[in-house]
Formats: sequence, structure tokens, C-alpha cells
Amino acid sequence: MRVPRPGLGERLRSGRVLKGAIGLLLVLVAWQVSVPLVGLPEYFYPSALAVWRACLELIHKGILPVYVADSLGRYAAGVGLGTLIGVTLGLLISLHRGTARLLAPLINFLYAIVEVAWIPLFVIWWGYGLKVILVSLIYVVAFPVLYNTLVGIRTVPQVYLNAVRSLGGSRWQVIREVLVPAALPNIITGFRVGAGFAFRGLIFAEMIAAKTGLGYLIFEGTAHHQTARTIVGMICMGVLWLGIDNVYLKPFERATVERWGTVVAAEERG
Amino acid sequence: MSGEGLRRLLSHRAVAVTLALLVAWGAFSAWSAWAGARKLTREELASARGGRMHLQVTLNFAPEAFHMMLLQSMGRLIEVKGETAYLMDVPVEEARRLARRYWVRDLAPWQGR
Repeated sequence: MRVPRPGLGERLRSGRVLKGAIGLLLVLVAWQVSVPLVGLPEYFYPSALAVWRACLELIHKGILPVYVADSLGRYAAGVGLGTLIGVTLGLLISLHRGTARLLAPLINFLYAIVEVAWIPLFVIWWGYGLKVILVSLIYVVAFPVLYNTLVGIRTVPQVYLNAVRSLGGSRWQVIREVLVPAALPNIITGFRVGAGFAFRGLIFAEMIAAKTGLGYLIFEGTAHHQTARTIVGMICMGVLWLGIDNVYLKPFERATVERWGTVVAAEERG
Repeated sequence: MSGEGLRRLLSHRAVAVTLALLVAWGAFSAWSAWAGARKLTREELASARGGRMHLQVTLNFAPEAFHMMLLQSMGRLIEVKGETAYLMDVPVEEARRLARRYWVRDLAPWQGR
């Protein structure tokens, strides 16, 4: 059953948007007022207005749109490939219980090693550039997706599999009709977790291995004492993630749970 | 697709936002192409020899490392004076692409060095 969600109009009427905007405005005013009180140089603690001016300057000079586009392109490619690899490996591994049991500890182990630890090694292997960023993102995304695919398939009740088999269903039909749909909510959860990790991974990889992108902007801003630019990069990162999560990931997860899930979505539980 | 189906599709936030972004991007690209054609006219492009040309690129500001790297990727960056960069051997297609950048104020053929 589809649970109706409050739309933007309803949220505007209920004052939630207004309260959020007031909260944000208060933070900005407090930030701006605190700068002369603290009395630190601008490169150390830039004001909200200085950050705003830096943002406008970066747009005026054509730097910010290119960096945002580059970061988003790398992010989309990394998340897409990572998801594809995670789901494919998850399905292949879970089809053989013995293999799944054998590889589960290794997968858990690799899942625990953050991509940050791998990046220096990736740089040695592939040098600086897009390849390192993509491999890092694929690594970050593939493991949560793989892990959740394994968990999702492991939790499918045996009775469903037996039912399809006893009706003459082939192995392919079992995968297509039972395993994938039943594991889909878990896969989507893994995807959302991976997509969140990937955003952080992207920024870190760009700091090390790129000459464009928001991570590079953050790093370069600090290196050249243009701290306001660093903060612009950080704010862009937050805004982009909020946009991606609210516009694409959350509704996608919600729709999947509604269509295929046997459990209620977290936000519906309150 | 029926009107009702289209309305239902557009009621999805992801679809509506993606469409809005695509429309905005399309409009911006069209404007960039139009503005680019005014900065570097067909006659100026026709002056290219062997599919390459020397260019004098004026920005709205003194170029930063980002702009230098981009200009270097398009041709040989000879020098920068104030807000103007001098490039040699820029392929015509790259020159056209450069003219579309909104932060490029003006482009003109240059005799080279």
C-alpha cells in the first residue's frame, strides 16, 4: 500500500519549510556577527558574506560549474559501476552456499577497510587521475551493495524457493521471480549506504588524485589560503548530497520497499 | 502516453527535477551556442589555416590556474597579458567550444608569433 507523503505545498502550509529557513538564517547571521567579535584574519575564519562572494566569484569565473559537473560525472560513473559489480558478485556468490560461506569473512574484512586506506596503493598502481577516483568509488559502493545482496538473498525464506521449484521453475526463474525481488529492498539499502559513502570517498579521492572537482577545490582553497573557497566546496558538497538523497535515493528506496518489501520503510515507522 | 499517465509520471519528484534540469541545461546550451557564434563569427573561423588558428582570448578577469590549464589543453598558450591570453594552433572545433564559455568575453584571430 502506498503511504501518502506530505508534498511541498503541505510542508509550506505547515510551516516546516519556514522554520527550516529561519533556522538556517539564524546560523548565517550568528556566523557573520561572530567574525568581527573573534577578530581572526579572513583566511583563518572567513565570514558568511566572504563565502557568498567567493561562491559568486567561482561561478563568474566558470570554475564552480565545471567542478560540480566533473564531480557529479565521476560520482555517477563510480556509483553505477560499483552497484553493477556489487549486485552481480552478490548474486553469483550467493547462488553457491559453500562459496558464500567461504567468502563471507573476506567480504566483511574488505568492507571494513575504508577506501581512504586503499587510495595511496591505487595511486602507486594507476597513478593520478580518473582511474584512481573511479576504482575508489567502485570499491566504496560495491562492498555495501555486495554485502546487502548476500544478506537479502540469505534471508529469503526457503519455502518460497521450494514453492517455485516444485512448480517446475528453472534456476533462472528462481533467481528472477524470487531471489532478486526479495533481495531488492536490501540491495537498495546497500546502494543508498554505498552512494553516501561514495560521496565522501569522491571528495577524498579528488583531493589526492584530481585537478578538478569539489574535492580539489576544497584542497586547493586551503593550500592557497582561500579558505572561503574551501567552505564553498564544502557547502556545495552538502547541498548536492541533500539533493541527490532527497530527489533520487530516498524516493527510490521508498518505492522499492513499497513494491517489493516485506517490511515497513524506516520513515513510515516514524 | 495518456495525459493522466504523463501527469502521474511528472508527479514523481525525481522525474520532475530531472526534466527541469534537462530543460535548464538545454536552454543554457542553446544560449551558449548563440553567444559563442557572436564572439567568433563564421568569417573569423574561415580564416583558419589547416583547421587551426591563432587566437586572442579575452576574459572578464585575469585568468587563474584553472583557465590556463583549460587553454593549454586547447592549444599552445604563448602568453597572458592582463585579462587576455594568446593561443596558437587551436583547432577550429576547440575555438568554437571556447567561444561558448560564458566567462570568455571575446575571441579574435591573432597573427601569432
